[in-house]
Amino acid sequence: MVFGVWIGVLFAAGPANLDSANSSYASGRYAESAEQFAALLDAGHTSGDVYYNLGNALYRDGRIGHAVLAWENALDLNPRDSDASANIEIALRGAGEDPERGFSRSGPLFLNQTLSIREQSILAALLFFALGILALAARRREMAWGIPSVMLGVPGSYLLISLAWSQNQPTIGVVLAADTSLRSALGTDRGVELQKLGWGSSVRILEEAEEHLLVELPGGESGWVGIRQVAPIDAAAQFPL
Amino acid sequence: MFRRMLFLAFALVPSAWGVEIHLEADSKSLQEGETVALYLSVVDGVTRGTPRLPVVDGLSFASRGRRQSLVTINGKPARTTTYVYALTGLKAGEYDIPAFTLNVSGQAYNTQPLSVEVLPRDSAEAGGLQSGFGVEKMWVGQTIVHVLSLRVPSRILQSRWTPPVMDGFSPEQSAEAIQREYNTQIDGQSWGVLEILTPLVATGVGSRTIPPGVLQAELEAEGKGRRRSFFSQSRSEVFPSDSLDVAVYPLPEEGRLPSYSGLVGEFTLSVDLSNQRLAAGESTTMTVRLEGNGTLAGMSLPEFPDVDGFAVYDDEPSSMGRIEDGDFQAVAVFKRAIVPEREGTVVLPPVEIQVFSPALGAYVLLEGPVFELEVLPGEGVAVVEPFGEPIPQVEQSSARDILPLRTEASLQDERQRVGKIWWAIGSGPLLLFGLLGLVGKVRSRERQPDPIRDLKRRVRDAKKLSDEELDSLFRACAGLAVGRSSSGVSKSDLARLNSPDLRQEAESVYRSLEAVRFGGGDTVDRRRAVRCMKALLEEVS
Repeated sequence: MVFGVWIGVLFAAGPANLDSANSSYASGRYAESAEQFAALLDAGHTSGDVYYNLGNALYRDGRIGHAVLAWENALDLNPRDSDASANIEIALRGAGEDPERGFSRSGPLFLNQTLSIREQSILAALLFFALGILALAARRREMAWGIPSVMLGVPGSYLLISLAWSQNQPTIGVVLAADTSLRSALGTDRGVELQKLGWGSSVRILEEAEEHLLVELPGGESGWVGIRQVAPIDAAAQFPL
Repeated sequence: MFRRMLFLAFALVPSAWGVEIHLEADSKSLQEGETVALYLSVVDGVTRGTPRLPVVDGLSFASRGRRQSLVTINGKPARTTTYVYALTGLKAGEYDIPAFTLNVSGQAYNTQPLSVEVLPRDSAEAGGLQSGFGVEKMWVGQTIVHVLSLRVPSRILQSRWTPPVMDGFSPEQSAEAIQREYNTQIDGQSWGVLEILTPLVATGVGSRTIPPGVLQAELEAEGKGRRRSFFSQSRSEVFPSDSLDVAVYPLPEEGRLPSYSGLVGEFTLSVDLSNQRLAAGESTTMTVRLEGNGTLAGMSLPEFPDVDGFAVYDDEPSSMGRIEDGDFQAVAVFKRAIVPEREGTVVLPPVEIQVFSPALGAYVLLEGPVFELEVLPGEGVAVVEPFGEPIPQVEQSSARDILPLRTEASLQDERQRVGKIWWAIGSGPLLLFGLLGLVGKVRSRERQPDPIRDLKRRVRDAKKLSDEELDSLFRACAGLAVGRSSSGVSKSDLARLNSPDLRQEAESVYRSLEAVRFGGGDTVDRRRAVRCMKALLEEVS
């Protein structure tokens, strides 16, 4: 009975908060709605839909950079979410940024635009499971398994290489604040200001030091920004509201 | 036949899997007395006997047998039975082979009707090469089909068409030229027919002459069987086409609206709305289908009128063109998501597209229906807060607004990576396979024959052996030591041993064994023999 109650509470808690967040959004209380969506994320409901809705609430609240980060996180969980892509494009265009100027999501082996890391992992595990079963069956029955094993092993290996390679790629981040200074040296009073970064623009995070991040722009330029002005795209991390 | 099978394969892919029936003819236009092949294809079903075609006055059908093929579509095998009939035009006129019922696998299925035109013998196409456009008056922007037809009294084995330079025409982007080859019979004479249909768009205004093109064809040589030599099975002929005089007219200014779409052709418009009763903030999809004989490549839907209270999102349009029954046909489908943001009853302005009709020589306004939306309260609607709290702004509608909230959001945690347990499960069978392979390798290594090891084992037990067995064992050891087979070892072979002591000892044992073997001795010193054999094996090791 206790287990039943616990399950009931577990499942009832989510929709109630979601309704509350939706209601706040519908009433125009976007900041409150964003807080509620973020609370859902903190409670473990880390879905692409919640990140998408959080992005909408933040966008309505005027926090374009945070909104873009939320939609990017939605894409991190579901790369095929065309609504999130469309919203990012609309938000960036509205902010005067060029949506085409960014880092490709396709990944080193062109899979990340279609499959999330989780989906790639599951698919690779399934393929290798099938390959193992095939190998055992072939050993037992002495059947020809060369071509089927290649058909399972090659895509499985491709997925594994893609996964390993993706894990070793530098993190992509989103500029949260408008007119973020990109400086030539670490620190707010050192070096010179190279350029201003608009909110929502994407950067590649190369290094972290003393509350600053060394970032690279899509055009190849690099410089230092404050650690709170850029947040990495990582759906598993706590969302920086 | 291959093209037909390919067509069937593609036609069946989107359909639900089940029985399919297709009726097709090599040509839908024939002349009096001409015979072409008619195919009735039954996919994934069985009929009892050869189906009988309905009687059509002016046409005659005669069964020419059937053939079966197996096509795999989406991994599922589909057996196709094709019944072949000889279709003969008896009397000039236009005929419909009506839909008829077939009993397939115990169930009744209807075929599609098929239209056939029989031309009078006089007006029928004569033999040779003919080309033309099939339209009398052309307008700039109009899509027309250039038809090239070769009819020769023998089979066409190969062909190569070199088209002329067609100034003022450009290829239609959405459809490719098609080439058809088939055989026909007229009064018992077999004819080979080649047709090439090329869709073109008239782009240049004015009169001009299109120079002749050249068709090079490889025709089957006359004569059959043994009389036909290996090197004279075919002959090559060149057929020049006629030059064509064409005139392309400019589109008139009169009646042209500023919103003219640029389309030229006979088009039909249909507009559908997925839902006319919805809550504010929800979306309804408007599907606009434009169909006609003009090009639709690159066509975009007119912008939604600037009406407050709507957010509009256009999807990427899809369009395709193809040549069907000798004419160009194109279809474009546009999807537009409309999100009302205020409750109440609202009227959507109709979709209007102005096109130019070559048949009428004038502009035509295609107009979709007017839809009335009943919008219920929902998110995105202004809500007045009590106690003087600020009234939230109604979301501004514009085509560049973000997409709406997901009220039915999934709350499942999607961020977990696949845990180690899943990787263990995934790689478990493979690891097990590797382990079994390793164990097998070790065992097989153990099972590998090692003559030295075997002989050493036998030498250890040599005391229990009979004299004959001992002789055999000694020869095996000696043979191994001198590199000979055991049966072929002779005393002279022992001279090849390196060690003089061992050589001497071995010759001594050999002699005593030979003596016992041939009755010259009573017994062998077994201890000495064993020692000698061990030394021989050590020599090999």
